[in-house]
Amino acid sequence: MTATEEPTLYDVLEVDPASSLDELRAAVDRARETFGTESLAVYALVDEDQLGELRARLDAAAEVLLTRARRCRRSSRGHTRARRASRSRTRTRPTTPRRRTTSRRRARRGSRRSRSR
Amino acid sequence: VKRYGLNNVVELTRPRPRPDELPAGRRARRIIAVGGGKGGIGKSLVSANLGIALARAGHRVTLVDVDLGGANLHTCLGINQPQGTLSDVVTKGTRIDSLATPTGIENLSLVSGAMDALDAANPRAQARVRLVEQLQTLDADYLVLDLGAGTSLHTIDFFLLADHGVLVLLPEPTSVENAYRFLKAALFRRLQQTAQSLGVAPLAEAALGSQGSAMRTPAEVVKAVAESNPDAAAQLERSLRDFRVKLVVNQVRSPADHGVGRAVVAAWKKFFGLDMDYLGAIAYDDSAWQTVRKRRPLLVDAKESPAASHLTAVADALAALDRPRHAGR
Repeated sequence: MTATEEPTLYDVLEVDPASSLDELRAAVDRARETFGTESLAVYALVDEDQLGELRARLDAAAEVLLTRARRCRRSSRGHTRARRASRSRTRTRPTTPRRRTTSRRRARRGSRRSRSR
Repeated sequence: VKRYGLNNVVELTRPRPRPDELPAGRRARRIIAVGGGKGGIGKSLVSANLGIALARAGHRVTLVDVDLGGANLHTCLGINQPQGTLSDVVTKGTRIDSLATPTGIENLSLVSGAMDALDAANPRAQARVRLVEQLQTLDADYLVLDLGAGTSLHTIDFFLLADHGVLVLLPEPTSVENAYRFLKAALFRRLQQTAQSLGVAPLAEAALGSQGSAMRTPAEVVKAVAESNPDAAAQLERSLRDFRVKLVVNQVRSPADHGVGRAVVAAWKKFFGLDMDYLGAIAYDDSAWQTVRKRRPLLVDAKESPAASHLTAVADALAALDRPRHAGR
């Protein structure tokens, strides 16, 4: 019970700010079940206006936090793909010129042999 | 302060220290009150079997039937109506410890609450305070108070007097509705009493009444009081934080019923900002009604039943709250 602090979106959904997307989804499902129209737990606890206000806050918090978490997941996936791509580039770069050099040398060696014959 | 005025009840119902916070050598007695607002939800069944479970765990327990209008805890325990009852404390000045009757179970005694005096179900403030004072003189490790249905002042005051207020509910709308009514009445009473003792009753009353029919949350009342009296608001907040009810869901039949307990805890916290402890659920069990019909306690006559093991688990959970915090480290 705090008299002064305004709840954050994480407080509204009762999740840790470091929660994963899956944890957030579970918290949203849990909140919708607890405070939904079919829930016995909110029957006669408060009036319909208060419940409606809470449901609106839950929906708003869910939208913002889930969108943010999805974006984070996408960007981290994008980041991972980019890192993989850059790793594969750094692996192939040194091999390609070496092969070329080798084939040129072979070509030169071949031409020398044909001249000596 | 009037001798039997509200402030006496405030003093008597002030939260008491934990056993490990008491000076060495003092008895660590705890009071458990079992309420729930609605009749027929198993308050007496829970009280009687909680008492038996705690007694079997080696604690000295006295069950007190404070359901003054419909006392029948003796029937749940399978013993005859004791001669002396709580009404003797009020009408004859009998000392309450002389009323404790053995139950046939080691470490467990009963003070019957069958009151035959006129207006017994709703005693006056003077009688209430006398009962509360006398209750606190009982020599036992645990007092288990079996409260009556409804939200009468004496029921609420006994609930607030306890170290552990246990709320019993069934996973049914009528029971949940009455349980919340009971909880809100108790919270409102605690708020009123504390605000009065701090001299900020008008401020608290104004804050409570400023939102039409919807009840203000404790945080909102504390905030309103803080604007004029921050010190009193801090004390009021501490007192309201101590209003930490223990929940038991009885007659659970389905997985959805199991979820009701945790959902009630979450909903209470969300709207009122107060913690509630979920002690557990008790399965719907034919043994429960069968043993009541036989006038035998469940933990004696059907101790292997699921409901009996759930009741024992609830008693263990309650006793664990009173264990010294350093124990087990």
